[in-house]
Amino acid sequence: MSASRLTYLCALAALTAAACTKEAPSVGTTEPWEAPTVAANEDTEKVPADIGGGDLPGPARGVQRLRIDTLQAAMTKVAGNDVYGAPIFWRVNNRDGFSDLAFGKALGRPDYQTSTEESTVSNALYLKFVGDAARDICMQMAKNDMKRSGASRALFPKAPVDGTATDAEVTENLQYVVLRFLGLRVAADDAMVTNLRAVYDVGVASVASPNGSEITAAAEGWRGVCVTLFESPLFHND
Amino acid sequence: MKSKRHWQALCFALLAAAPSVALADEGEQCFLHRELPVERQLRRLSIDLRGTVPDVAEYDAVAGLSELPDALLDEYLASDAFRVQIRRHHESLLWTNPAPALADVGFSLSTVAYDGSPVYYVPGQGKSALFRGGDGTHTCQNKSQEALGYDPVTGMPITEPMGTDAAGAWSAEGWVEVHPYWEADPAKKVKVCAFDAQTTATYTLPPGDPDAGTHSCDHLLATNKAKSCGCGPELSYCMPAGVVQPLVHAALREQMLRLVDEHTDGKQPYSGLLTTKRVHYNGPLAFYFKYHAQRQTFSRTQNEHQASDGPLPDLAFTDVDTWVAVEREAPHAGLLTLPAFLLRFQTNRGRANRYRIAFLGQYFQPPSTKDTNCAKESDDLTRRCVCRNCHVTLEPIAAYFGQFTEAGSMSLRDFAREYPTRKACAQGIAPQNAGWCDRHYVAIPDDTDPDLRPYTLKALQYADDEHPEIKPHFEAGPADLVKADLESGRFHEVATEHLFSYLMKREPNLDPTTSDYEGDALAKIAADFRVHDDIRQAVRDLVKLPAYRRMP
Repeated sequence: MSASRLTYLCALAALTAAACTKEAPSVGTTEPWEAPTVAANEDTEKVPADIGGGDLPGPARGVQRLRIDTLQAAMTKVAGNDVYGAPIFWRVNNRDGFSDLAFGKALGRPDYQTSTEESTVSNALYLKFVGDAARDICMQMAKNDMKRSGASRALFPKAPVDGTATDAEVTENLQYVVLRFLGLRVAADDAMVTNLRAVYDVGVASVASPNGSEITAAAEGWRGVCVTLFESPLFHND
Repeated sequence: MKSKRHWQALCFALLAAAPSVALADEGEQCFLHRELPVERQLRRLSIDLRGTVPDVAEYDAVAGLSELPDALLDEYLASDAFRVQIRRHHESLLWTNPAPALADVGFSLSTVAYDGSPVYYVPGQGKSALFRGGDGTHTCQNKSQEALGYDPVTGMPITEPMGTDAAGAWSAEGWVEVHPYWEADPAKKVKVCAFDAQTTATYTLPPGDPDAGTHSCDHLLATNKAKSCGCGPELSYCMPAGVVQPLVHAALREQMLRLVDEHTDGKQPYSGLLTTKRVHYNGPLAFYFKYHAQRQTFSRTQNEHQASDGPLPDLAFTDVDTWVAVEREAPHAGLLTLPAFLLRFQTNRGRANRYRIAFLGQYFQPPSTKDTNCAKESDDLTRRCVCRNCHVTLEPIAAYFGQFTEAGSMSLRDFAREYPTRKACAQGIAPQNAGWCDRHYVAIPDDTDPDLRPYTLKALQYADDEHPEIKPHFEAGPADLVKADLESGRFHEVATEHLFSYLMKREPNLDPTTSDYEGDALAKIAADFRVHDDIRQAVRDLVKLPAYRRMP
């Protein structure tokens, strides 16, 4: 290809590019864009590295609240089995609280007769029943774990609950339950771990030890963490 | 040479820079979508394809990976949990959980308590009056029929006078012990009033009777005709609704879901869901269609088994978990002609509308502008103001379902299309019955002699020169409706869009003027889907889209 013809083509391309933009940048003179280091509230904070440039990701999948069927299955799966090998589930008058014989229909499970579509809105009714389910299931998990030891436990396999757990063991167990409940693998210094540690500590402090109850102070701490995780939006989003 | 390279470099830089500058300037959007951590990707996939979350061991198995392995996706797609999710997806499209009343007083069994134990009887007043006289409110008395005996000539139970009520004298028989069909244990028996427990299969009307001849006791029209007709062997002709009806309802739902299973497991084409002639029966369903369906009064759903429904398998009512596949004949077309669909959408218009929504993604909407130049009072909805906007489209589609009775699942394929008079219409069934004629036929107005009006099947009421599509659509049946949408590719396009919404939790962006237009990707998946006709492969293609791995 001759130089003159190449020049003509490139000039055409440059014109085309300029036509696509309000103001065509001059090649080679654009300064790299720098993310601001001072936020609108004048705090100095870390800005994500790619906020100002890089490839533009495409659209994302939407996020919805779990359907009642899925919530029912997920809570039971996370809770594991009791000491007799039977699945732990939300018990309401000896029925599964999420079944249609209990609160399944009230929570919006469609029967395709009177209701044909499941709302995936987290309304007050949903939050109330999820709170009830979480408290019931977490108590069952704690009580069953008290009858087991070590890795066979579902809620506190990494930390003893007899008052001898070290900080490292508590942290390791917090990382474990975050993965078990939410599917997130977090570092020991992650804010989620430190926040849940505070929940655990409050739970432990709320119970006198020894207290003669079925679960120890530490187990009560883990029960609080369990309820917190079951009530987390991250648990209910898919 | 050096100069040439300089120009080439400049040219490349210009062309590379142009698109991104244009996109940023044009969209002015803040894209913050991030790839999910692999554990959350796993959780998302597991919830969508298995309906539950992974366990810790499953999270550990993907630790450190940047994306989920294909083998894991294949494992999920092959799992039984995925089959259940796909069932649920189709239920949400079709709403098929029918619950019509399947028994009425003519053959339902009630109980009266004698000495603390139940005695079964049929509560229909007409039948009771035929058996015992009086006003039809009486049952048998609390004694064994063995103590009273049977008439040596007629074989019917001997009764004892019990008194007189407002309608006259009445008498009552005793009870007998019978093993009922709904009990699996052959040794278990229940008490039944002796008249109701009669096992006679047929009754004969004498010469001179308008319906002279022998007829079946197991039919609606026998209910008040023959004193010798009871509930048949093992009470087969009658139904304790509380025991039998829930099992039949559950089986109707399961029958459709089994068809979904067959066409979503990757072994048979997905489109066969709407074309197959195959159908599955278990014990309660086969028993219902053999003995009970023909006993329903005309005011309720009509589900009588017809030759086009194929042979009923020989199953006992208690064979709840035994399913047998049989082949139906035309005009059946996949799930569109299963009782679960026909009874959930009981009018041909309702059936056509649900078909459009579920398989064509089309919804009827009223017009936003005033309708003019139309008939204000016409009975013909394709001409009537406002109505016509939808009905001009709906009526020809509804005609495809015309060979199935409305408010019922009965095939009308073998029914006469027309009778010349009302009397001839009533004689379309034996014993003759005007109610039967009114249930399925409608008079064609004739100004000359109203008594000689011809009667036509209701679905053909408007099959005239002004509506030329109705007759051929009626005769072709739903199979032809489906055929056109399969050939056009629309069926697979809409199925792909539904799956996209199910998996992505949002509608696809089909606006080609936007930067995140998804129509091309969807069209590619739909085109492939049309070729392989495997819903699992379509799901695989959709969850492998980059968007599925991103958080909003």
